[in-house]
Amino acid sequence: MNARIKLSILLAGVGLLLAFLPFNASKTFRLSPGELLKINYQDHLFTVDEVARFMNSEDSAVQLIDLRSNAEFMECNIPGSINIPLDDLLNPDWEGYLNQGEKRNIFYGNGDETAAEAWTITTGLGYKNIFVMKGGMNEWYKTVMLSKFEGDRITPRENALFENRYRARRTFTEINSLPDNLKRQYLEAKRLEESQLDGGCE
Amino acid sequence: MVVVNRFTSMKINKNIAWIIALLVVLTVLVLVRTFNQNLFKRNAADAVEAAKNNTVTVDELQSINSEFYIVELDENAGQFEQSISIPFEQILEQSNRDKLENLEGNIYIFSNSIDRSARAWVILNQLGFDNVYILSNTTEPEAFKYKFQPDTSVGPEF
Amino acid sequence: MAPISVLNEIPEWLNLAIAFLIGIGFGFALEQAGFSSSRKLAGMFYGYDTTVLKVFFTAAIVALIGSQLLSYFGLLNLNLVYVNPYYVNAALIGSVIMGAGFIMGGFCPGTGISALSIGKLDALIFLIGGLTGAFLFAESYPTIQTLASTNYRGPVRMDEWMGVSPGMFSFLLILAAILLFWLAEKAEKKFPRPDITSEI
Repeated sequence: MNARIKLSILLAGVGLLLAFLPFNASKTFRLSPGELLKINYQDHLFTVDEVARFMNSEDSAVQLIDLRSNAEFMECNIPGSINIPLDDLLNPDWEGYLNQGEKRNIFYGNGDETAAEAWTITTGLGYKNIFVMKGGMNEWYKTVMLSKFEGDRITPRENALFENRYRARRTFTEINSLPDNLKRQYLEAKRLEESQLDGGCE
Repeated sequence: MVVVNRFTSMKINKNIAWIIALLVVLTVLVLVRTFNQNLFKRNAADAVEAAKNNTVTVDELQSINSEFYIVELDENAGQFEQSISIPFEQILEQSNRDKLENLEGNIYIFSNSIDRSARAWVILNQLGFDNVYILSNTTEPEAFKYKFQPDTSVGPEF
Repeated sequence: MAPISVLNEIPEWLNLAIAFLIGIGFGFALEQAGFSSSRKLAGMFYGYDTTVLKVFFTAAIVALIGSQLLSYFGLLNLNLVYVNPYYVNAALIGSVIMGAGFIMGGFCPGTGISALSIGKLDALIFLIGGLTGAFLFAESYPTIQTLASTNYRGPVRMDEWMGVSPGMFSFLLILAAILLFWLAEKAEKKFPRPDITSEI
């Protein structure tokens, strides 16, 4: 009974233990259920006006992510956003965008449901800096695109608010009115601009 | 000769004992971790897959024949008769979890803000509940309600 | 130390100090296994000394078991561990070149450094050759770029390719290791070179 046989028994025993592990820990949520429940969702919301301001100032600390299907994305999207359909959320190709600590990722769908689901899943997986645009595309359209000022006098604050909206409205209309091939080029150029180097030292 | 054999066999037994002890300790640790209730054990991709088909509207409820339960997550519950009220923050308490596990049939969770139901749905799905659905009081909560009219007269200044 | 979850917030100097200590451990292990001797390393290919297989495969198995157990207990985030992307053509050609270089030179890069540290001149020349090769690769990359990046498969993991759970794959790999060690012992008996093995 020399050392090699003892070592073999030890390793084979541990291997047998490993073979029966019931779940693959690298694919499950990193947070515990209690932690995930406790996170204050309201702290992770942006209003459509705030997102319009990000878009107008081309804020590079923020990345808008459209969770809808590719067809809906091509029809109209908030300029500057990338399209990650919910079904594709866990595709490793997108991990570079989602699982990082520098840029804030702002999810939006058409309503609140898909964005909340995606937020919970990614936050559960331990990704940081995940946010949601409250109301989604429906709210964006209602507020930024269609709202009008009704009243006699406008306060400076309302003035700034509507100025923000009109500017966003113009950019939105311009970019989304491009014919499909030009739109695709614009999106591809944007994507290449921000594509990251894949390497061993991250 | 006999003394030497007994001595060496004792030494061999001691080494084997160490190996077995180590394996037992590891097994115990693994078991403790496996049966930890406060842990997600499910593949995250299951949630994404199940999200494709997890929403039900109030109108569709009428046409369901099988047994189902409605769970309301808000404090001011009472929008549905015969619903179970579990406030969102307390959904993981042992009594509520047992309650949910013992329900046989589909569970529809409802909240006035649908994001709350969505978050609860993801958490419950990852804890192993496959019979939970989101109840929405608007038809098609994720449909785009507007139509974008392209305006090609406004060209972008590149 | 980013993949180890509990050590996420340690200062940078501590991170580097731990890396330094791990490096010391690695060099120490290589030297005490006798890998500074090129005759021992070349013995792997001629069959009279299979220490290389045993040491490196055991190290891989220990790392595999350790990482799987730590990941299971939530201490290690396996998603942050880098998996090399798999380029089929590049892997094949590179491994042929590396194998030929290994047996001709009698060193691989890590053992070359440990041999250099005990003062061997042939290790110095070997390393200079290795760095020259890397430099030439970088300089000629535009020419050989198509060859180097065809057949890209992404960061493939064997357990995903085989369709088994990582734990089951670990078990199969351990069984394969034990079988290989037993075969290695047989090979040593079949191709003995007592004139070399008595000296190293």
